[in-house]
Amino acid sequence: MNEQKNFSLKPMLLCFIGFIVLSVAIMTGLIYVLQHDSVKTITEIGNIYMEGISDKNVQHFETIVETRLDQLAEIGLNEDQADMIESAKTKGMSSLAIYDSQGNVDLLYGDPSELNSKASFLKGIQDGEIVVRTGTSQNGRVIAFGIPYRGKALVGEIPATDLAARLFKPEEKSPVASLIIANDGSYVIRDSDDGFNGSYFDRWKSEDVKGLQQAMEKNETYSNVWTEHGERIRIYATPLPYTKSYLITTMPFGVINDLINGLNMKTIFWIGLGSVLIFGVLLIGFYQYYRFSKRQIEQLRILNDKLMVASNAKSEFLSKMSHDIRTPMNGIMGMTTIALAHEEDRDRVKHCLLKIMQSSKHLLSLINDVLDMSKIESGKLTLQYEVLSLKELVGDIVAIAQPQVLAKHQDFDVLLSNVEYENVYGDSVRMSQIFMNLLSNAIKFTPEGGRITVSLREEALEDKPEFIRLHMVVEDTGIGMSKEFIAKIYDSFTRERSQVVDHTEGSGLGMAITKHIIDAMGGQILIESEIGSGSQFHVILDLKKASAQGTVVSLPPLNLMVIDDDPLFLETVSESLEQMGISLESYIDVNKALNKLKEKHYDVVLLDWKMPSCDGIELAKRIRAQVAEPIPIILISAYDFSEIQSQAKEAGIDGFIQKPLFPSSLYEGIQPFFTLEEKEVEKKEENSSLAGKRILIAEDNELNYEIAHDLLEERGLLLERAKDGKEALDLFESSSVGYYDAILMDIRMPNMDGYEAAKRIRHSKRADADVLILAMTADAFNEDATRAKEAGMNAHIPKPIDIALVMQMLRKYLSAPSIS
Amino acid sequence: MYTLKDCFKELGGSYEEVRKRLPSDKMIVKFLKKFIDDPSFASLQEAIQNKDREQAFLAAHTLKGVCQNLGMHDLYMQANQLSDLLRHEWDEQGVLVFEETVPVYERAIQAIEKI
Repeated sequence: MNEQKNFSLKPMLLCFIGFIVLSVAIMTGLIYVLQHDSVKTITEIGNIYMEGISDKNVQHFETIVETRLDQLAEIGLNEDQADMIESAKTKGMSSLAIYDSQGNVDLLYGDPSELNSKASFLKGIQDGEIVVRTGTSQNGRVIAFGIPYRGKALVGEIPATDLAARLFKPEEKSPVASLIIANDGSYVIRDSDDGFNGSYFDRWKSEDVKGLQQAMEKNETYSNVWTEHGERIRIYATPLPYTKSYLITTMPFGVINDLINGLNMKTIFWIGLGSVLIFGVLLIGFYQYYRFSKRQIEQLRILNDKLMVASNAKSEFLSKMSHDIRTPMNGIMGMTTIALAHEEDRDRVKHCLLKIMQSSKHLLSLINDVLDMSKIESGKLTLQYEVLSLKELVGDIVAIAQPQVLAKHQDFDVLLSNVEYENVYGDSVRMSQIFMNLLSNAIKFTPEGGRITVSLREEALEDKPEFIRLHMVVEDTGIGMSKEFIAKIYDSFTRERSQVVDHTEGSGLGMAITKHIIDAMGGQILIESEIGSGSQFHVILDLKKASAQGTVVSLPPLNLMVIDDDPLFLETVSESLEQMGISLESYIDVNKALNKLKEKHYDVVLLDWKMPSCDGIELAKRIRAQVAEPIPIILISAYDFSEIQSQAKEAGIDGFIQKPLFPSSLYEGIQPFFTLEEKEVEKKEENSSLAGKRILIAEDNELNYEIAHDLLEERGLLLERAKDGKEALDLFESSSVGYYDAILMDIRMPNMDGYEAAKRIRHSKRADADVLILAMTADAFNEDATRAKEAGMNAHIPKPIDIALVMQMLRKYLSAPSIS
Repeated sequence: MYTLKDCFKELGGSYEEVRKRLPSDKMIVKFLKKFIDDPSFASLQEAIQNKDREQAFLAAHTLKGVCQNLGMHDLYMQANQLSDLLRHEWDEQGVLVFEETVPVYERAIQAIEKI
C-alpha cells in the first residue's frame, strides 16, 4: 500500500479544507472589525453632526444676543426715558429696567421678572460687564440682556418664546431636538413643547444627568449617549456665551446608527455574496482539479501496471532464455567432452558432432532472435536491399521446412499464382526471416497429419508500375488462436498460455520481429484464426521489380498433360505453361487420363506426387505399363525428392520439379527433355542469343583487358573499355539508357575502384541503374564477395577469367535462350 | 623445338589448363609475348623501393591476376604472397619477398622469349 500513499489526494483535500477554514475565519474577523469600527464611526459621525447643529445654534444665539445688546446700547443713548421706552418697544422688548448693583430695579415698562443667578448677575453689573440671564415673569420665561448704563445696568427682556422662535426654525422631520436650560435644569426655551414643566434634570436617569451637571458646573461641553426609556439618545450640551445656560442638542441614537448599520448590512451582504461566488468558483475549480488529479493517478496506476507486466514478461523471458540458451550450450559441451574421450571411435565422434551441430543451430537461432529484438527495440533495424530471386528465396525456405514436415507427417503444398516477376528488390535475409517464421509456426502448431499450405501470388499495381504486390499466405489446420491472443500476438515475449504451447520450443519473439520487419518494409500482415480449426497468415509486400528478369521463357509448342486432383494447382500450372507457349490438357480423373494417353500423342506428362486418390509413383508405373510410348514423365511436389528418388526412377519417372513452381522452375524442369542437339549447335544457338550485347569492361591492366576482349569478341559481343572506375562511371553516365547490357568490373583499379564505381552507378537516377554488373577479381575471399554484393554488384567472377562461366552468367542475367 | 608445353613447364604452370581457357595456341603466344611489356612488375619494383604500400599492393595484385590469366604459376605464387602481405599495412618482409620474386620474374621472361 505504499502506492496508496504516493498516489493519495489527502494532502490536497486537507489543503482545501484549511483554505475554507481560513477564509471563514478571515471573513468573520472582517465582519467583527467592521462592526466595531461602525460603532466608533457612528459615534464620531453623531458627534460631528450634533456639534455642527449645536455650533450653528450657538452662533445664532450669539448673533441674537449681540443684536439685542446693540439694541440696548442704542436705547441707552436716548436721554429721555420716554424715548427709551419707545425705542425698546419698537425693538420688541417685553420690558426695560435699570438695575443697580444692589439689586434695586427701576422698571421702566413691562412686567417685573425674577432673574436666575441673580447674584452673579449683580456682580456682573458691579463689574460693568455685559450679562445675559434667563428669568421668569408672569407671562413665562424671559431672557434678560444687561449692559452697563451710567454705573448701573440697563436691562431689556424678551420673551423666551421669541428667542425660541428666532433660534429654532421649526424643521419638519428633523430628528434633532434643541433646547436651552438654565443651570438649575429649568427650561429656558425649547423647540417643541411636550408639556413638561419641571427640571430638565428630572427627566433623565440620575447617573446620566450627573455627567451633564458636572460638565455644566465646569462650564464644559458634554457629549454622550444615554439610554432612556428603552431608547438610546445622543446628547450634546454646550455652554451658551454670556449666560449661565446650556444649549442641549439631542438626537435619537438610532437615526445615524440605523443608516450606518444599513450600510454595514449592505456591505456585508455584498461581501458575502461576492465571497460565496468566489467560493463557488473555487469549489468548482477545485473539484475539477481533483477529478483531473484522480484521473492522472489512475492513468499512472495503469501505466505502472503495464510497466510491471512488461517488466515481468521481460524477466520471465530472460530467465527462460537463459535456461533455453544454457541447455544447448551444455549439450554442446557434453558432446565435445564425449567426443574427445572417444577420439578413435569415428562413429561416436561423428554422432557427437552431429548433435553439436544441431544444438549450435538451435542456439544460434535463439541468439539471433534476441539480437534482432534488441536491434529492433533500439531502432537499429536496417534493411539491405538487393536484387533477389523469389524462386531461390521460397525454394530455400521450402527446403528447410521439408524435414520438419516429413517428421510430423504433415500435408504440405506450395502454390503459385500469377508470378510473373521472379526477380525483385528486397532484403533477402529479412524476407526469409518472415517467411521462415510463419512457416515454422505453422508446422509447430499443427499436429501430426495436419495440412499446411503456402501460396504466393503477384498483383500488378496500377499506380506503381515498377512495383508488384506480393501476397504470401501461410495456412494451416493447426490449433488456432483465440481473439484475445491475436490482439497481443505482436507483443514481445508473449505466447499463448496453454499446455500445447508451453511444451513447444521457441523464444516468443518470432512474431514481434516479423511484424517489425514487415512494418519496416511498408507491408501488411493479416491474421485469421479459429481455435481448433487452424490459422491463416497473409503477408502483403510491395516489391520493386528488378530490371534484370529472366524474361518469359518459351519452349517449343509442346503437348502437355497434367494429372492432378487439385483444381488450384491445375490453374496455376496452366497459367505458367500457357505463357511459355505450351498447350496443355489437364485431367483429374486418372482413368480418363490414361485412356487419353493411349489415344493421343503427348510430349510430356506432369504428375503431382501426393494426390489423395493415388500416389504419383504408382500412377507413373501404370502409365509405363499401359502406354507404349516413352513419354517423359515429370513428378512435381512440394516435398523433397531425395528419399524417393530411386523408387521413382524405377517406376519410370524421368524428372522432378520441386515446388514452388516459378515459371523458370517449370522451364528448367521441362527443358532438359527437349534439347537433344549436340553441344556445338547448342552453344551456337546459345551464343547467337547473346550476340550484339554490349559489354563495358573496366580493367586497368592492358593485358588482362586484351584477354577478356579477345575471348568475348569471339562470342559476338560488342565490347568497350574503361581504364578505371572513374572512366567506367563517366562512360556509363554519358551513355543512353540501356546502351550497355552489362559491365564487367575489375575491383582493384587506380583513381576509383570497382566497388565505388558500382555504388555510384547503382545510385544514379537512371532507369538502367540496375544494369548487370559482374565483379572480376583475383581475390577469392568471402569478404570480397560480400563487399561486391554490398556495392550492388550482381555476381562475382573469379580470375583467371573463364569464358564459359562469364557466358553462363551473362546468359543467366540477360536473357534465356529461345529455341524455336 | 621449344614448345609451349616446355615453356609452361618453366613457368611452373600447365599448358593443358591454360588451353582450356584460352582456346588457341596463337592466342596464348600473343598474350605471353605481351606480358613482356606489362608494367605491373616495374611498378611493383618502384613501389617497393619507395616503400609505397598502396602502389605495391595494387601492382602485386594486378600482377597476380595477369599471371593467373596466363597460367604463370610460379610468378603468380610470388605475387600472391606479396599481395597478401601488403594488403593492409606496410611490412618490411615485403622487401625480402620481392627480392625473391625478381629471379622468378626474370626466368619467366627468358622462357617467353624463347618461344
